Amino acid sequence: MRIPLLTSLGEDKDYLNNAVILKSPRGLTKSTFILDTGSPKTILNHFDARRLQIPFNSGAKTEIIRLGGKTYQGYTFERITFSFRSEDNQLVREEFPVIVVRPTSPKEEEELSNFPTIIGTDFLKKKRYILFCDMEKGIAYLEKKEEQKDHQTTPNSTCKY
Amino acid sequence: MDELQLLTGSIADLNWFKENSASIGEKYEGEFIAIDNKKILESAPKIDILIRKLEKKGININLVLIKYVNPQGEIIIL
Repeated sequence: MRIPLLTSLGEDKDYLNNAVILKSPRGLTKSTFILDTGSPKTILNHFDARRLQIPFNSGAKTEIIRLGGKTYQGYTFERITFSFRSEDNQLVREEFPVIVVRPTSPKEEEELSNFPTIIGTDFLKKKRYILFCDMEKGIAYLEKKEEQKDHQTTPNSTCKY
Repeated sequence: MDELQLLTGSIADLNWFKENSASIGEKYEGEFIAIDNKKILESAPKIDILIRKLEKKGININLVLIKYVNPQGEIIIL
């Protein structure tokens, strides 16, 4: 089972990304994510957290999160479900804890809204996904580890996590 | 509408955003935009203003794709 990723958001904006449906116990929302292999944690966009009516300080405190040169207190929220679309047009649901960050001023709140939902390497590790990417060809996808059958079909210039 | 339909619509909208990023960037740089069915429904420089505009139109903010359009020459390094 593979989850395709887009390799760009426009010219010279080569991010691994795609659309996702996020669900919390209080509702669901359309959203997008960026897969960031430089982030060890999965972080929910501030506006997505608001749309899902997630209380910002109900979970356990995490490490201090640095985003865009500023630091924020993070809180864990356990009950988020990510729904992705597989390449064979099936819904793939993954429940995964995320970090929500708490702004301390309206200005910080506005700044945090600019940062997308980030899927980090914790998601790949705990949910057992392998990332394949060939940025030059514009091919990228996540594949469940136990379902990977043939390593030799992997293009030469790929990233594996 | 079920989740798969919602997601399929979002993916199409995100692809549309990507394909039209140059023209969207020229018109909406530095703004938040709400996209549905390959159309920009509303835009605003601040997310709260965008929410108010959408709610005033009776649009469910959870069922539209919200994107921030980076100012020209600016990229986000996470």
